[in-house]
Amino acid sequence: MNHPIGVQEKVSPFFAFILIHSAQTGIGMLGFQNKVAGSVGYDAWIVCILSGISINIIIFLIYKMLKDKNDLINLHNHSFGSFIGTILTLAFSTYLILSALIVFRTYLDILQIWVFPTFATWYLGLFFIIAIYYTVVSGFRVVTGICFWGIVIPGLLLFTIGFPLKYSTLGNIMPIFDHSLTSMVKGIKDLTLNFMGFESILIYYPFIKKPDKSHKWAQIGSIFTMVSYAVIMVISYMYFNEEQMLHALWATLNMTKIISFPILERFEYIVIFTWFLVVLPTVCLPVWSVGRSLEILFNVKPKNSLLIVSIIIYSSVFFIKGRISINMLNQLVGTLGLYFIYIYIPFLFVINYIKSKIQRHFSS
Amino acid sequence: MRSRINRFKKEEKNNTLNINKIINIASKSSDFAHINLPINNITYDLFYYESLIDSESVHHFVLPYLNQEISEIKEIKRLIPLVGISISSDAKEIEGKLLQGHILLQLQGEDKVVALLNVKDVKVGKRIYNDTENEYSVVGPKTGFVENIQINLNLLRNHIVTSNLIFEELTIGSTSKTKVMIAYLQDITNDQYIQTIRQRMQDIDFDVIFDASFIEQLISDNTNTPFPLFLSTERVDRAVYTLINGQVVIFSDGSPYAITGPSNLFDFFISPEDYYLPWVVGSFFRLIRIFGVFFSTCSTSIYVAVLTYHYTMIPKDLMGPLVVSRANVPFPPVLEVLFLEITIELLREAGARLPTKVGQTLGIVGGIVIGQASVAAALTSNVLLIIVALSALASFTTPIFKMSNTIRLLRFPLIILAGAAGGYGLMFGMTMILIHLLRLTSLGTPYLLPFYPFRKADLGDTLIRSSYSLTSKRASYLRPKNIWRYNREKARLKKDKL
Amino acid sequence: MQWRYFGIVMCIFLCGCSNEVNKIRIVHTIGYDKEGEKIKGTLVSPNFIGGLTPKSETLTDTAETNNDILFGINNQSNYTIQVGQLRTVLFGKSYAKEDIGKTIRSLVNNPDIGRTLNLAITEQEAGEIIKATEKKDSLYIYNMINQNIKTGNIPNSNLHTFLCSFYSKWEDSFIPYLKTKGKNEVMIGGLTLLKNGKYVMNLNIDQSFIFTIINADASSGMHLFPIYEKDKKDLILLQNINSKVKYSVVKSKIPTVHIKVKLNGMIKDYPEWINLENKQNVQLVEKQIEENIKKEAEKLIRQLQENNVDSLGIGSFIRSRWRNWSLDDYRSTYQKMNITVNVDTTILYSGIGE
Repeated sequence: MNHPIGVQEKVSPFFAFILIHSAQTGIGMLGFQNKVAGSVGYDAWIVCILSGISINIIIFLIYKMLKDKNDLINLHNHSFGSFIGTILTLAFSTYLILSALIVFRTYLDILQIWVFPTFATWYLGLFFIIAIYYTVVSGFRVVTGICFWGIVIPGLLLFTIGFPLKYSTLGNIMPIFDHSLTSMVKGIKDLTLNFMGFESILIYYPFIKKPDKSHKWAQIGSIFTMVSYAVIMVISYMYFNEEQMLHALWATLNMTKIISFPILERFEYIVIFTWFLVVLPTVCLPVWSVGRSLEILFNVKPKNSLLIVSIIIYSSVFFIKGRISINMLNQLVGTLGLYFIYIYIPFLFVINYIKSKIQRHFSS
Repeated sequence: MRSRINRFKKEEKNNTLNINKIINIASKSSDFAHINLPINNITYDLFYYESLIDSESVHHFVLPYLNQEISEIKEIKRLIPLVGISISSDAKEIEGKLLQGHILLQLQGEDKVVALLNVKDVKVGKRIYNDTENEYSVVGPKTGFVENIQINLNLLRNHIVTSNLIFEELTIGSTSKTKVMIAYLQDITNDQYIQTIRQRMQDIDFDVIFDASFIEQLISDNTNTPFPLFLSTERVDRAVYTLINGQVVIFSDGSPYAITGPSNLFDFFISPEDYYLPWVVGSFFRLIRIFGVFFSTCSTSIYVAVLTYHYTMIPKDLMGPLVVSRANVPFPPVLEVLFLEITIELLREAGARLPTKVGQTLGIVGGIVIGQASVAAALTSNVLLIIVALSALASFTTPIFKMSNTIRLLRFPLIILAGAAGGYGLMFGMTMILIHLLRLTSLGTPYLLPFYPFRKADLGDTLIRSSYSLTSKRASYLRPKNIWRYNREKARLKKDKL
Repeated sequence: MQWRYFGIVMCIFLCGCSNEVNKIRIVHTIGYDKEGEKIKGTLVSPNFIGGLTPKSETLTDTAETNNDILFGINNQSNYTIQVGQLRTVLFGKSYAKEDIGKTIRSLVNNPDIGRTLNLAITEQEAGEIIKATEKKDSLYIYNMINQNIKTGNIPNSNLHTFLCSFYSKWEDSFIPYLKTKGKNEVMIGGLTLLKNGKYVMNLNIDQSFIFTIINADASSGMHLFPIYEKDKKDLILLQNINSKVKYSVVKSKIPTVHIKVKLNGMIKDYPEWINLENKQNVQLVEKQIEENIKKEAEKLIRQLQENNVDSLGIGSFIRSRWRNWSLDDYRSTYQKMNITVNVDTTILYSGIGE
């Protein structure tokens, strides 16, 4: 359109893997085991795999849609006309802001409960929002860089996996397939929140060089997320048994409490602080996407629009207080995500397909 | 970012000079001499700056030969046995050359065309011996550049014996008119870098250029960063190595430091010594250097964060020494650490300026007495003293001095952030540094190559130094025209077929 | 510009909400006892002023719940009580007979507490045990329990293993057990078995060895075995170098469980009339040890079954192998199960002779 993208801003196709994976792994990994403890229990790793496969199908649909349309704004305008298209894009932007906001607030919540009970939330949030603003205002290249380092640096934590394994028993997750199929389907719904985040590709798709080549990398990224979640789920359920999991609200952090080195004892603090780098891409990618869509729709400079978006996200510190509100908002965003991913995207795909067919029919 | 360079962009000035005007202005200076030689029917007028010329050359090669008549100024070339004679009528060129140690030879008050004889004294006032002062290596040659640019170019041409080594000369600085040379290998270096450097340097409008570092700051992509974007070196072997890789070297007359670009963050941790030792040993020491940098930046902040907010992370056996050492200290850990860090910075700054006779004594006073006394007076803890001293030491492990300054600077915000919000503040500080590094580009190439954007082929020479059989390709991020340095199969071949 | 400086200065001085390491009172051990309707808590905190090895300081208070006790002790202390470095929690036997679950849940709810801390039940009151070790340093009991886990007859036990078995419906818990010896000495007395957080029975040191080797893979412990040859009878001391254990189940209305132990041992003390260089002698000794362990183990398991406490985790093992085996099946058949033990001993070393 009228905002061309210079070669300097584009990233190579391999980075689709990193962008998809880092946007999906956010705050969920710290405490997602508890949500399914009552229903699916120790077969939850199977639910992770099923969930991941469905996301792969959705990514396939997205790539098919974006092949000639380039990004969501074009897609909306082409399918629904310019006025409704703009409104739909704005709704999508609001959804992105909400998902970034809930991750932001949940991370601050975890910090306050686990590490700094006496600090004010606005104080902790100030650091986070400054980092977010500095990242998104620097352009897509820097955002991708943060996604990259957000996988590499926390990946070093994986080397400590031996400690929980020492206390795990394989018997805790046997026999396999012990729970009913209906509870597994319900489990998929509970775990959707963890696989959300990849929707920003609808906006940053044109920033990838040779976008069609990046399809396989995006699929690999999603599979990698699925595998990581499944592995962590398996290890958690081997470490805790099913009844204990009902009491462990943040299972991953509880699990890392057992890790200790001669020079350093409570490893869960290091996990929480390193998670800052995991959560930053999850928040920055949607916020950057919102800045880009506003730039295309209304010609606002990202520097200004992103300032307003950051202030909106920061204001959640004042409006959302307490665990109950955060849980409610998490569920709300999870439900919204569920509808968006599993209902809206296939619907858009169908409409786009029909419209293209009609147009081709008329032009020939 | 470009707008900051435009601040130094040149504006066109009017000049209405002619030769007589030049002579009139210059005559005001008492070192401007005039010799008037009437020979038969013509008069030779010689004008020169006494402080710039080599009077031996004038006595032996100029004056004895001015004993004949000539009709045209062009014939002076036959008379005088000097190499650098030029005939010119361009007033600007004449003024420039006069200021560079040329003699203005005027024929009978002829106003339009004069001869210029090059009798510049190159040896005056500059170092000739060239031991590297600040970049020492135990093994390997110790030759370094000096302040005289001709000697530097000579040194370079001795190591790179190919006509593909091109030197482009520029004059920068309206008052200092410093001679600046851009050196590159034309069959390897990507033209884009040369063009960018050339264009940026031609746009500079600055008055005095003392050192290549001035140029570095004037042409860099981002002047608001503490990280150096060009590598500056005194050593010949380092400059040669960067040329071989496809980078550009910039020399400036009057400065022994050459700057090379484009560079990335990991270039600053490479020491030439790594290449003279076996690759296993070299890689190990490089890793220690990088560990030293991390330790130096973060160790005091970790101390502050753990002792102020995260006492649960201290192992049970370390609890005793830490609590006992802090038993009587009246300040919170942040202030204690800042106090000690500022003391060490003061020691360093004072030590750099102390005359040699006083330096040794005061070094001992600073190091031992102040340290011991402050522990005994319970102003700081002894555990902290060890950590601060070690981290100050570790910050000097970077081979390039400019980077060690950056590391020392980066420590302070991290300490303050750790004191403000513990481990979270420290993580925030390190993330901001990371984002800043991601934004930096040196002549257009990202600063964090080859880790981001990830290039597997270039990893051979960053964290570890692979053996010579594996480094037969040049770094691809510099986009050289020719990627092979030498034949790979031959490098891997065992030499004796035993 | 001024706001930036102000912010920096504020950051330095906002350390008011901090836990500076020498301005807090660290707690290393807590002991809980029953006193009437309330709980009495005894706290041991280190005092580093004398030197690097901490001396203990003891503070006590009585209140209804755990955190109330800590708050009450806070009122007596010059520095804030911080439980982040808690290493050992002791429960008096009389308190354990009621329910330790309430206090455990209160402790675990606190994010500061780690999971590597040790729990122990004490024969006398926890306050008495703490008093007996007053002259020693504050980590004495923690070090004693831990080194016995490494080289003694106690299996690996910390807060995490306790919580696993406490919350699980298919198994019961065990934790080490301390008692006083004389006026100023404390010793490990064996293991205590708990069901739903309530005290059920004790095992002494010898029984603890058997328990350790049939519970899970172990690599420590010593036990005296009687051996006899023709008409000579004496004792042999065997040290466990490493042992592996494998469970298997035969599914039927009343399940049968086979426990197979493979033990590699080293002989520490043996009578002079046995020559351990002789292969037949060694095999004789091994066989006798195996029979002895089998007898003792089956006796121990029968005791567990009689008291209806499943600290070996047999229920959870069978559940993992048998689909559709319900909790009722478990509860009704545990006491009648047929559990056999088979041992395979190998004697690796027996000293250097001389």
